[in-house]
Amino acid sequence: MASPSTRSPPRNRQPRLRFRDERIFYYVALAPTTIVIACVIALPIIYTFALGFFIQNTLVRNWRFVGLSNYSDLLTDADFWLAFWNGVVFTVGSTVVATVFGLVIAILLDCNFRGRGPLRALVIFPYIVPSIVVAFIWKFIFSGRGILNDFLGFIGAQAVSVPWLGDQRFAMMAVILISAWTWFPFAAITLLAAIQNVPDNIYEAAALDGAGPMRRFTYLTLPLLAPAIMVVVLIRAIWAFRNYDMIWLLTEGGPIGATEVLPIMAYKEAFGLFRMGHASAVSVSLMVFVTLLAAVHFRVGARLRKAYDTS
Amino acid sequence: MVQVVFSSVGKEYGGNAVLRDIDFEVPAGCFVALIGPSGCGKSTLLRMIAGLEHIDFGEIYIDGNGVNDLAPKDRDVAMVFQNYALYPHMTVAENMLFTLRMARCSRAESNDRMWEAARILGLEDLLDRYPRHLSGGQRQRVAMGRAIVRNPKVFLFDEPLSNLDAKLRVQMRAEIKRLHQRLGTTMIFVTHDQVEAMTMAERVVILREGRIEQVGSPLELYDRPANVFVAGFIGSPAMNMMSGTFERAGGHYHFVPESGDPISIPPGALSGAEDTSSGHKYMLGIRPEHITLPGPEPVSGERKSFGEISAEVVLVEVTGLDTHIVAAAPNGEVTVLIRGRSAVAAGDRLLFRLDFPLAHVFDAETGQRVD
Ligand SMILES: Nc1ncnc2c1ncn2[C@@H]1O[C@H](COP(=O)(O)OP(=O)(O)O)[C@@H](O)[C@H]1O
Ligand SMILES: [Mg+2]
Repeated sequence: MASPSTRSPPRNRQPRLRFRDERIFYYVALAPTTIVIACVIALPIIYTFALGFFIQNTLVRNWRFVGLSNYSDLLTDADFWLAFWNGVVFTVGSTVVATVFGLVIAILLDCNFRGRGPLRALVIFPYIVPSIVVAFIWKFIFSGRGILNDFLGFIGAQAVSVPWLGDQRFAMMAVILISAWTWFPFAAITLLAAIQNVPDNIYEAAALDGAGPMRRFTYLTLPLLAPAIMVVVLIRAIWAFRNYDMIWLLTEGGPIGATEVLPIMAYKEAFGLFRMGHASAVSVSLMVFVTLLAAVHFRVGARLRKAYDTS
Repeated sequence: MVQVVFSSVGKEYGGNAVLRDIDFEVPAGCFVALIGPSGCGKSTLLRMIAGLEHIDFGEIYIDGNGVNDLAPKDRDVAMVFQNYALYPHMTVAENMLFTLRMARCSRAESNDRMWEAARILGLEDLLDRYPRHLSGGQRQRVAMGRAIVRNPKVFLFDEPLSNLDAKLRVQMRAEIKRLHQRLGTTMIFVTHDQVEAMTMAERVVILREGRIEQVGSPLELYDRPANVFVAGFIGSPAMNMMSGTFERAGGHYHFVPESGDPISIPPGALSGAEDTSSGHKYMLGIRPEHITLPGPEPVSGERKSFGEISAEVVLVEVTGLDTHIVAAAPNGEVTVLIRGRSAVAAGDRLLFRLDFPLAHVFDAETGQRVD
């Protein structure tokens, strides 16, 4: 690496900083950033962790150490498990819907047709609309007297008209669909990039090898897209499991807890019931789950990228 | 063995004709090279045979059947792509088995055929590898293996050697040629490298700007190029060309270049088709190896013999096997190819003798050969 001239500096030069000195310099240079990060990220996390071992009520302001009892309370709390389960349903549901829909859109956008350019730009739209606007639009569509029910009435299906977001049976489904709608563009754009990364020649070779469009899809497109699909699914799952704003804006976790997920439970514990200890325990459990997902993401992602390296 | 026939085939992209009036026949079992400069439509024509491009005009027949409306998979042709186009997520064995699997070939027979192909191409030890773990030459072989397991009617190659280094290219050239001799299948090979075309093919089709310039055996193209383009395209170093007129004076013919002294032509060297009276313009072509060096330039005023011009050597290139001498004559540069070594050096003024019976005459206007 080092050329001869850097290895043997001229003798009359000042002695260079020695390794140890350089290291001190690095620490000094990094300190401001480290301190800022510690204050805004590490401290709150540590504080939350610590709070989980106490009972603390915002109104009373005294801390009482209770050890792991907040956590053991959670394990026996049906609401906690319901929120956990709701989170799983929401995560799996919206991830599957968004990814499948995104994949279909990506494949369509890869086809040659007039107006493909503008359409590609348009697909981004749901992704860039702020959640508050999305929630507003869809509440309007899904409300009891909303467009969807107007449409159902129009085609003569008044019988199934319900306030979709306010009905225990349909609220989760509606929330999943809306959330998938805001998120499918990410899947579509990512997968479109992956599709376009596959050389056309491979498909032509397969066509000559006797594979029709369906078999080209199952034998080439899907396996070649597997790494990208995996990444999309995991990023989406992590995002969905800790998602708070969209569900809160749409249903606030209701009706009757039908869409209450862990972040919403934590919020309600903290700012509705002022049970900071419980809220912290919920948050910490949430963090554990999400960290597990992230670990899977990095493991699987790295392995897939290696296995399907197309270069 | 199967014949491929092109009948007035044409292709357009957005109103631009990229192929026009392609008419020729690939005899059954023949190894044909399609050659021409980059962008002349070679790949397009090959892809039209494969069914990867629509045939806008005319008709292509494979084995006597029109294939214009057949899907690629129904044409029973195999293609080796320039970048090999291997399936990156399949092993070498899976790459070769894919087509048999698509054809719902039985497992036992598939394996037999795959092993046979692997044996022919020396791939036995690589069957479990993925394409990304193979060298360029090995990928090339797998691409060929994928083509031969199917036992197709026609093999198509699109510049398959252009991504290989020089040494490997020579080796694969021989290997493909052997493969052809062994299988006897009709092969159509696209290249922009005239050496590849000349050494491998039984017939060569020269394309330029979407048109066929000449079809013939390698030696026909070399010995009797149909026009100035073919004459310049085939052969390295390229054929020398000078334009001028033929005149008769002093009992024999002369070629009078646009500048410089007339070159006297030995009796009987012209075909007689040349117009020697009206000053019609011709291109005189002579291959570098058809010029000899009879000796130093004669003192001024001395008469030159038939076919002689004097020129000053500007460049001497040695390849080890032979020597290329580039000289500046009044009517342009002349390249001479000498077998073996030469004592000639830059700056020498020498006589150059054109071996006239071997010269080529082309009409300067149409570029066509005059015989
Ligand atoms: N898909 C396409 N759209 C428009 N023009 C094309 C397309 N494919 C090829 N061409 C044009 O057709 C001509 C022939 O291309 P090609 O067959 O690839 O040439 P070659 O293989 O001889 O280098 C080129 O001028 C190229 O620009
Ligand atoms: Mg090409």
